[in-house]
Amino acid sequence: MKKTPFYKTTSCLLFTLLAFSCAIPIEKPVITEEALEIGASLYILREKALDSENMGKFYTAMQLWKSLYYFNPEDSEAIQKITELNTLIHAKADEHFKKGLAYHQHKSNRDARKAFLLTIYYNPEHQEALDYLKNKFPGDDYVLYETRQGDTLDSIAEEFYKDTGKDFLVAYYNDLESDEELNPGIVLKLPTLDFPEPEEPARSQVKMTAEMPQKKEGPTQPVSENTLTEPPTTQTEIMQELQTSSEKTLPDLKTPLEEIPQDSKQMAAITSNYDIETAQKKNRLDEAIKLFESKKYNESVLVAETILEQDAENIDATEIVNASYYQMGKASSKTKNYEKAIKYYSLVDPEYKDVKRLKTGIEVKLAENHYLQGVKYFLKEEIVKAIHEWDITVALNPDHTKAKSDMEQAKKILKRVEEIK
Amino acid sequence: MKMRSADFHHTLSLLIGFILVVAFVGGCAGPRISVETKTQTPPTFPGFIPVTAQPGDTFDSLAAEYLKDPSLGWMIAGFNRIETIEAGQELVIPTKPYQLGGLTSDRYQTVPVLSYHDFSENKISKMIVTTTAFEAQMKLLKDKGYHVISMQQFFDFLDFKTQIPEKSVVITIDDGWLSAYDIAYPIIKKYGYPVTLFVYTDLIGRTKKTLTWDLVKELADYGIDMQCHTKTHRDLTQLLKNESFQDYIGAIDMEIAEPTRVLKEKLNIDTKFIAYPYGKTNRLVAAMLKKHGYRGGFSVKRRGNPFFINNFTIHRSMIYGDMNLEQFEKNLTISDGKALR
Repeated sequence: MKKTPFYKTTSCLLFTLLAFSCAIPIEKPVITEEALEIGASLYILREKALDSENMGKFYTAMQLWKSLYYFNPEDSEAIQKITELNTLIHAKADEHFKKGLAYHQHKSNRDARKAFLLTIYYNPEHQEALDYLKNKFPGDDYVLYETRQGDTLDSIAEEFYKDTGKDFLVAYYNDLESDEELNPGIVLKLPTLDFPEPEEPARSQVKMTAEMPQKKEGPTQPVSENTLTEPPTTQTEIMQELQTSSEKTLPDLKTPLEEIPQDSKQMAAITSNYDIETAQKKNRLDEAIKLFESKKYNESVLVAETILEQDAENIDATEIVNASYYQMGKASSKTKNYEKAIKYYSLVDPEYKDVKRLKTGIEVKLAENHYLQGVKYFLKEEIVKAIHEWDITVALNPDHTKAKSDMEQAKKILKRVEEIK
Repeated sequence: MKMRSADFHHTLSLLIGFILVVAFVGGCAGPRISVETKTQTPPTFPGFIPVTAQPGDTFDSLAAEYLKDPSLGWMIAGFNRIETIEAGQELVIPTKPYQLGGLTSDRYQTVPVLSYHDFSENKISKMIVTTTAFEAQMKLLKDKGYHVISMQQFFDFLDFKTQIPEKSVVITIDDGWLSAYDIAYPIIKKYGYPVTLFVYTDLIGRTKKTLTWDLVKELADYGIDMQCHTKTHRDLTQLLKNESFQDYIGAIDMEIAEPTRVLKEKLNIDTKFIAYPYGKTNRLVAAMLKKHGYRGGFSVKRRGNPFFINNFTIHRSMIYGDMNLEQFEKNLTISDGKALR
């Protein structure tokens, strides 16, 4: 490489200057008064960082160590702590996120929500977990659909809504003309409908031995603060789940007025429609109990939920909801429908009777199914899918050692394959 | 275009020469290189500043100095878990949210949204709250240290973007009755609370007991947030008798689009939130609202709201005229842990 004479000259000058630097009054950066004050106060950051770590607030602790490092880049303890905590945070978040995905797949929503919450507790920057929490319970308001060759609005409506007459909905929601031709590869948004589908037999017809909740005497007492709020959206989900078989037994909910009232008296009538509680609460409770006694658990839940909607502390209604889902879970388990069993058990308060034990039992069974599915994929040399199944296996049953060791092996194989590529 | 090698070396030589000259001249003159901590905050600053409190410092003054907003004093108090400041005290200033969603390992924050409808001087009924009761309720919020937050702050909390005071509450009024102006407005002004009014636009100017557009404008100009309660107050989830599904979709679209248009036209407001008539909604309605650019919708389910609630099924607690203060206070649930059990 040819160097220019000027380059040589400047290099010489640089060397000379460096050699005689002691002769030049170059001082270390002077710390201002304010910076000195910060230096003197750094211990408080360390103290807070250690405090946060002891309290399990690892993310905050890491941020505090980072702040310490910012003010003193030579703090080797801070560097070490940042590395350690970063690893810990990601490991914890990842562990809970995988659990969340497994539970979400099995519609065990309470557990999924808890796992996603713990994910972002450990790592508040985990956007995927946040998206699940905000938007995936009970499900998306619309789904995305990519058009294929030959698709029409009719055919999409038929495929998605089982009704060609809803072609206008596809057009409306995507700002298309009603006779618009669809090229392949267009991504359409298809809104989800919550309207009742054709009737199907009520699950409550399943024979089982009911354990009847006893109505408590006297006025309802408030329960402890942390039991006041049901997991959000649960009722929406329940409504969707139960609408099919409960229309006839729905309580007398507000009926909308078809015309705009002309004077304030009539308008007051609208607002009085909000009042769906006090007067009918007792009747509702009796109705819910009666439905439970008749083993119509879908309906008993629905009626009890209308009480809880306005009175989240109502012990009797809570009891009916728990007892109903408990029975539905047991019935599903008995018929070996583990998917539904875990879903229903997940809707029961975890402290209710032996539901925790029953649910763990189902999780072990589901985990085994995923393990076997993973083995099938592995034998078909679909390694990535196998690892995914074993991930779910371990999330549902952390004691499944076989899944863990198989997964390690599979990951090694996958790594080797990638190296060869 | 890539720089040629000779050009590169030439440029590098010039650069080094320049640096040396500057360093040499600077060195001779002996100026000090100072660390200007205030003006050199790099973008990666992790968010915590240690400070020693000076005489006269308060949470608000420190918030004004370090967070550029004196109303954020509660963040400093909360992070340091202290209620007062003494001169000489070592503190840590959090310059970013340190507990989004109020989330700990076993609890999370909930924000109650209060829902009022109509007010009266002395008439008591379920849906009508008296002046005295409303005044007492607003006073209770102040006396017990609640922070009434705006709709914007509330949604930033729901979107996990910001931290809000531990005792936060949202106040809403539905429909568009004249009493919102005559009775509620002076009290709201007195306490300086941000409030949202959900109007159903067909009600405005309809009778002597309803707001006029001039009054709505006056309220909006003051800072009352105007949002949508549909056009006619119909139940958005039910098909009417003999209504086809297609007509239903058209009608619901109109219930959303029309107030959005009218509020834009009359008040130049971009409507982003809806209070569902009768509190009723479903996923189709939510999807339609999203199509119209809405950020959220409110039901009348009596509970607080954790950050992870779906933005289109937000709970609200209706405040009834026959509630006493104790019953009113029961609606102010600010924390829960059930979803983490």
